[in-house]
Amino acid sequence: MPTTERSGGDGVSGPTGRLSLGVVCTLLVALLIVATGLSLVLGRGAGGALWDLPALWQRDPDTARLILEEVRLPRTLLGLLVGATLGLCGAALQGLLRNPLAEPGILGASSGAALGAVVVFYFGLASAGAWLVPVGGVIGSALALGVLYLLAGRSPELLTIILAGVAINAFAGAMTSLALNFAPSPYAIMEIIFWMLGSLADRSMVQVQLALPLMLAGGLLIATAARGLDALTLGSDAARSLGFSPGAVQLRVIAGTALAVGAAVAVTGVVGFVGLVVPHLLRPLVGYRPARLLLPSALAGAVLLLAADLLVRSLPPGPELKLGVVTAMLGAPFFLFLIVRSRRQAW
Amino acid sequence: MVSLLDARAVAVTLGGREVLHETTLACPGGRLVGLVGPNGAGKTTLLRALAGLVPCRGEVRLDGRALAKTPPRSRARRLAYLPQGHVAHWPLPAAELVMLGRLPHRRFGAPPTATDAAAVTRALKMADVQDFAARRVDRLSGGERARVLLARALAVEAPVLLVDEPTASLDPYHQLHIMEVLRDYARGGRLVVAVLHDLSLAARFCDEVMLLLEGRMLAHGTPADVFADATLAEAFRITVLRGGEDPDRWLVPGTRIG
Repeated sequence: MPTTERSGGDGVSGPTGRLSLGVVCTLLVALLIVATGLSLVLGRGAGGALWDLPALWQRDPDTARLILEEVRLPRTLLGLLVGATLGLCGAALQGLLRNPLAEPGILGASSGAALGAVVVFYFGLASAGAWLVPVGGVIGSALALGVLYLLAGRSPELLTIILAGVAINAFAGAMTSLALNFAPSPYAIMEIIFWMLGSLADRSMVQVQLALPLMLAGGLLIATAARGLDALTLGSDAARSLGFSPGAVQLRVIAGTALAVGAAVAVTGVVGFVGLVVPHLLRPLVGYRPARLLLPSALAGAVLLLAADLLVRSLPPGPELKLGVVTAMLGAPFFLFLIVRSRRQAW
Repeated sequence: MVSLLDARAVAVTLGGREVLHETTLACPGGRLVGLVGPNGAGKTTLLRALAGLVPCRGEVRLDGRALAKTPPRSRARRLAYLPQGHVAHWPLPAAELVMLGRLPHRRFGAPPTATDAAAVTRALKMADVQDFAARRVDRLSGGERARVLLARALAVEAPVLLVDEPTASLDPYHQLHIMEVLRDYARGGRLVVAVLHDLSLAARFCDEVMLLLEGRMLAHGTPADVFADATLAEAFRITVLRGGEDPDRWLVPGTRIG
């Protein structure tokens, strides 16, 4: 026998020390309920007190209800949906590219979507219909991922993918800056900056209604590719021999990500690094199999984004710190840490 | 005899070069077939064509049905393929990696059944990797990892098993073990086609040998027929030393010619 070591586990259910998917998801749902509750209740109104809603409810129930329904509910729902989208798409892209550094923001899907939204806005198309902004986002995101796939899809090597993402981000950034440069009014500049920074503030149920169907469609598309992502663990040939066409898996994940991230960015702007961080936090708990990571990543993405938004809201009153700035400030060092670590080991 | 897998005038062109010239062959079940030839002879290309993984002219038939017209899922249940290179992109525990071989048998979203678990346990035992079923594949040695990936292909329990260099990077004990496993796998009426570089193992264990040279089938028959001195000299430019209980089946490479 080549080895005398005996590891735990019965050999089929996996190693010991890892939590079952049900336990992890239950914990995440519990966290999500807490975060959702806090997100509905916490915030600084005119009074400036953080825990404002219960007191307001006693003084002025009508205003409290208005705040809850018109301000807090859309903000919470969007945080939940966008977080879930980013977590899910991050896990799916990492599975597709078989690379733990993939993420919608790093790969340029988010900045492409932002550019798409900016283009629609800049040319005044948004006045023809608010739904055109998410459509622009989806198209921008799809174009970015399409270019990425052309550049790096055939040889999913870390360096090629990252460099392709850098190039797409640079181009989308340059075009957005161009729009900023020639913006017709300060109002337009503010709007464009909104997409560059990312925020959940001052959103309404209209944005939820615009984004939700596209996010659901994208999420479902990705879910149908889950088993194919598992099979791709063994490489393209083995995946095909197991009955999964790598091309079909790629198409579903890329189209699904374009739909969901395009819609998310169109209504909240670029919120980066959630899709990168979330699968990494979960792998020690649920393991490395891509399909197994999808649902927990969506749940944890929602929790993380609501938590980041709660952090933004609980800061002292003043100019609002944008959500996208917070996630980038926390996510970029994490990205750097992963790069340093990946130079030492494969995972 | 009805053949499990046959190829009719199959030819493959890659990058404008015909790497496999028209090849016709028929493989009935119950046999371990060795596919041998020097580097670049087209062994892997033929194996991939038989697995339906590379576009080719002509027709490959599985169970008498055109492979190209067989739905992917039903094809995946009837034909398992092990590529060379020991690819595992994520550091899954060995048992979880082997369970991927059960994907064609499982319904969407359904957890593994007792049948799947039993197939995985059998495959782990066959490849002699049951002792590190729970260990991550990135923490295994090259040979151990090769056996885990072979177990993945065995776990499909398909009537046709195509394996590319299943004994590469294995120690002598496990080379013999895996060849016995493949022979036993074929004994139950199934077909195993294995690309092999080790002529000694091919001669000892295979029921049938196909010898490829420059994209053509130079010889196809029993090891005694294919491994004639003249054929080996032409294809491999080597002489062999023979001995043991059966000089047709016990041979080792001797000297280079020329």
